[in-house]
Amino acid sequence: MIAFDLPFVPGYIDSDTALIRDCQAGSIEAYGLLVTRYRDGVYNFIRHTIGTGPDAQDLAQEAFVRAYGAIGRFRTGAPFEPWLYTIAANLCRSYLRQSKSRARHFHESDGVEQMPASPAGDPARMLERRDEHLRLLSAIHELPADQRMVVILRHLQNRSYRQIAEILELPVSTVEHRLRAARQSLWKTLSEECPSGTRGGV
Amino acid sequence: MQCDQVQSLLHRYVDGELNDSRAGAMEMHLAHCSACSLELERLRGLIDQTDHALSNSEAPPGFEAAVATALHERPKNQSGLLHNLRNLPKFLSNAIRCF
Repeated sequence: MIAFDLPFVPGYIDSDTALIRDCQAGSIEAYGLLVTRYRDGVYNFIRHTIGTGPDAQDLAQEAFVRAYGAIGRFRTGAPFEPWLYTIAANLCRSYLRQSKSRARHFHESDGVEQMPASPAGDPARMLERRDEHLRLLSAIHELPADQRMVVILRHLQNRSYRQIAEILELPVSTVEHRLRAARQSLWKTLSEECPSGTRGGV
Repeated sequence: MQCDQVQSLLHRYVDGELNDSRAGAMEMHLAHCSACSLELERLRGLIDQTDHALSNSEAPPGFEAAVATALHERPKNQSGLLHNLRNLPKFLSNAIRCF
């Protein structure tokens, strides 16, 4: 997609570094491309961290505004995306501290469209899987925020421990610890609801 | 590898965080240990469910326009680059064309 007033250089459209260099030189349209590139990821990270609602949209937009405000000091050649997500994560922490809430705006409809396919012709199993899916989603939103962010970055965005550590400004060992603790909580939630008692531990 | 060591590394193993040597040692153990294999199967099941539970959706329509408006309204001392806002219409038109 080359439809902008940007110089055509092979690889230009794909290069955050080039766009940031243009931002720093005064091109706000280059920043518009960065917003378009990362808006969905940042929005979903925030939406799952603080809960669905207008605040998630406002916070995601604020992350881009703050990043733009600081982009003049951004180190040339450094990766833009983790830096942007660090800003977003800090905004989420601040929001959650102020609101004293953890994902109060969770709605069942948030996750229904992602439900795994059920065996055809087995309505009982379909209902069971739906309940399990919604319990798990609710349990994710009930995790402590520091664990929830790790889960979102790992499971929604498939990031490595090192990438998560960079975004959340934590040691890699802490990321691993939080992910393990979060999964144990999720497992416990699912196990408590499992009448067969067949679930073990993780 | 012993069972306790394997189980302490299970999360790193399923997340692809082990080097080839350690992953290979894990696999050798798992091939012969039903208890650890069961733990691995359970963990993979939970990970699969969690992956599915978290949905991606598109940012709301007009997202870029709202960012542009916020940049425009923000006092200059909060953004060192806000003198660039004379180009705001281009930002918006590019965002719309990209949407």
